[in-house]
Amino acid sequence: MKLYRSGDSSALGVLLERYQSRLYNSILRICKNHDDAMELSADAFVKAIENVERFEQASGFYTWLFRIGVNGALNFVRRKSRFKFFSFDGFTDAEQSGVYEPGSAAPGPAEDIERKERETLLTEALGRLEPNHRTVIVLRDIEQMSYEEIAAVLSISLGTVKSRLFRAREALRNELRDYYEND
Amino acid sequence: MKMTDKNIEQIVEYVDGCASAEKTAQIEEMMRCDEALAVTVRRHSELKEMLTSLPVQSCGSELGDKVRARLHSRGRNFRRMNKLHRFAAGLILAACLGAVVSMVYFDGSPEEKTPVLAMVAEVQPVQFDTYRQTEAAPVKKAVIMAPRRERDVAMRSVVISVKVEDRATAEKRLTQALYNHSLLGSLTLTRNETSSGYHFPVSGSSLASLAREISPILTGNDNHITITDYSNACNFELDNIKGDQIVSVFTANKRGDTALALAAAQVENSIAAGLTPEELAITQPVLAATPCEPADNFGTVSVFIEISSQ
Repeated sequence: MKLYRSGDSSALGVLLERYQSRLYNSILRICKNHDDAMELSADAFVKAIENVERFEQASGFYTWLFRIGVNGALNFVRRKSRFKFFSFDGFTDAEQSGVYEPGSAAPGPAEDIERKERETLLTEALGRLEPNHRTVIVLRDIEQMSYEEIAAVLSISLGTVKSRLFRAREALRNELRDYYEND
Repeated sequence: MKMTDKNIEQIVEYVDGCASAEKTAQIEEMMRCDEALAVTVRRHSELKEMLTSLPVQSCGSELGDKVRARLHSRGRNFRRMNKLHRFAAGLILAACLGAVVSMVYFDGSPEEKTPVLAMVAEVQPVQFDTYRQTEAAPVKKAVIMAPRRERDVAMRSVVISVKVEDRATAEKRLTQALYNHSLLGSLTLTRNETSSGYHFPVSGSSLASLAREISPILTGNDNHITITDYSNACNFELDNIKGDQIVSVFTANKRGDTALALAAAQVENSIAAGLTPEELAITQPVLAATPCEPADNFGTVSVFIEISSQ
């Protein structure tokens, strides 16, 4: 980031390589659509880079980028939730996007099929959570952020991060009740 | 077990493997006593493990390409917008300056009359310092800050006393100028051994061009000008005025800035004479011996030019 700020445009490639997949993956889990995630991730990068002068070194570019990206995704999801879109061919956004890989017809060992089914269930359940709960789980359990980083990204206190995380896991567990009962 | 905020935080830290050894022991002890808590912690741990193992969706190079393209196009737009912004900022700045100048010039309080040069004198010492420091000519700028309406000199009559080396040549030039302006018909000429007096009426709008023609005779340093204010019966007098300064004063008269030009000339001359700020004093207007009422021929100025030998 220092290099980029000093005018080294090649540093952009390094920044992208380092953070693009992580940001995209997190945003994808929040907004559940490949195209939207791609747009929101690109927006976040562009905003982060264009406002590079406002970036405070102390916060870390990673946290700053995620703050822009995640908040953008949350706003997008909230806006989108006010309107329901129905697809004529009966596919949901998520199914179209390829996020889910339902026990996809691909032949393989039984464990592999079982793992994929579990992932599908989990992803679907995660998608049904309220955006705030979904986000905190994505940041902690998928993106592996520390509590402090999550607090910085979401602009909430450490205590709120932990309590929200607990409630989000409880909600997710509730969504997967059937799975646990059958288990 | 009753779930308090503290318990919740401890459970989360335990599930995430962030709890201290002491807290870990406490949680495990609580789990042994509370089956429901044990189930909750176990389920959360399982969920975490499942979530952690979710495959990472790759975005390939698509995102990078998109970001680069967007930055590139925004850069172009930004540069374009930057030009527009600068132009708009310039317009706004000009408008603001215009508003400020208008407020200063037309302050809407014509009833508060302040002697013209007294006001100029108030601001002058400051401007003198500025002038000396910057080598620029902020004097005129400074005087411009005085309210315009109160600064105007409604010129009634002008008396210019000129001392020249070659009186005959100066008289010829002046006569030629008066001829050029068709003023010889109304000229009253008085002569004696030491001086010649040219008295004539002239329209205010012709003063500047006339002054331009006669300025070559105003080469000396000890010329004197007296301007009588039309409206408040005050005389403004200035010593050592030069030809170009008289042209400035008469040109300014068309804009209503006569007093400004007089003051500027005064300051210029004072600085040229090496006066200190303390010594610099603008000639104050003095009340004319006989207060004069505004005459009908407002646009006509009575001019008296006295040419004498040095």
